[in-house]
Amino acid sequence: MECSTVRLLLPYRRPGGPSELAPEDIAALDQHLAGCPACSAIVAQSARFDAAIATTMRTVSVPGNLKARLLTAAMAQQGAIWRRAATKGFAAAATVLVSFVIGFGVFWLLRPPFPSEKVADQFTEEIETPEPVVKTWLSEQGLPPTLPLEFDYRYHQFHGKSSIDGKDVPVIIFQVWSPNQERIDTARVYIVSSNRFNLAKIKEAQNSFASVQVFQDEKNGVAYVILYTTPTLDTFLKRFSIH
Amino acid sequence: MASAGPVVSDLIQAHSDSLYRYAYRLTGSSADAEDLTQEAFVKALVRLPQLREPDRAKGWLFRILRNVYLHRIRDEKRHKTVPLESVNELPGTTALEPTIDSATLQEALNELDETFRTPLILFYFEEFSYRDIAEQMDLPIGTVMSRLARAKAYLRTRLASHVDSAEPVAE
Repeated sequence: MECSTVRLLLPYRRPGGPSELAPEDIAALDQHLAGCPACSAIVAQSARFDAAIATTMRTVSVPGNLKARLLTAAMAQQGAIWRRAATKGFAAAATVLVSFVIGFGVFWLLRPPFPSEKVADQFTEEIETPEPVVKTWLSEQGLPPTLPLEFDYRYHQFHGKSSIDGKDVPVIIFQVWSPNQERIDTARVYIVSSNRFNLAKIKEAQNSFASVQVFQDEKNGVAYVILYTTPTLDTFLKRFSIH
Repeated sequence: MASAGPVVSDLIQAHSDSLYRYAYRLTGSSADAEDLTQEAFVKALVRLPQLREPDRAKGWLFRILRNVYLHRIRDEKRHKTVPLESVNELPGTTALEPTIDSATLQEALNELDETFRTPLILFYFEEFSYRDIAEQMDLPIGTVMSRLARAKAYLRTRLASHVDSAEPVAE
């Protein structure tokens, strides 16, 4: 390595400081300096200068309680930051709350009135013409509108859903007041779909209080399970209705 | 699991002394140095989430402090500084005794423009490489080395006339 090259590399040579040269360059530099008094003298003088400046540069007395004052100032700033964040958080929460209150208020004011007249009309229709109402309802359920027997709809009391084993099953209830027996006889027609229950295993049954008859409609995939409290279903049918 | 980053109290414990010394050499005043250091840590607290490499916290803090300093002096009336174009840039031309008075050094630093003063101060804190200084000042390494060479040459000339055989005096 020539002296001219060494003099160019000298600024990058920082013994004791961060390495600015590749190891092989440092090795080549040191090898040259070991055999070149002129370059060595320059390096030595520069090193003395740098060492003197560095020592004095760092010789600054730090105030004894500087750290404490800095920590106090930092904690005060941290508190201010937290307070600002809390204020923003409260403002955001307040905005959500106000929005909810306004939204709920609008909902409250816009609630529809109870359709008393409409309900009264529906009730009247059910009372006066129950059969078409029930047929329409059955159709809306996706079920055949006609029952397997000719029930007398003057005895219609209710049509809707009943929960059987956790499943909603359409049911139509007929009731007859029997003055001679001094009791109300009931016939319940459960309309069971094949997609809900295994229709092949539905059995007829009887106990001391009620009887069960089953009518299968394989074409429509439904079965009619009729529960009744009279000796026969004839009581509830049109041909044999009792007025 | 990633470890939690440093908290500002950790940074104060680890770096407040060197940051203060840097601030002192920048300003030449202990009062200004403390103000500057405090403001730097306050800004660091706000920007702590931006510190992605905790190992480089010192350089990050030095950069914050310098920016705070530059904002302060921007609006202040600049004192007269020595134009370094006229300074002999050849190093090693003037012999220098190994002891330098701290106050004398500060006088010489105060006469330098901040663009020359800063790389000089950072260089002599030794832990900063040319690359670190370049990153802090947003300058190419070559510019940093050029300014450093001029600043060191100025110091040699300036301090040669204030040879003091006594040990460096701490303030």
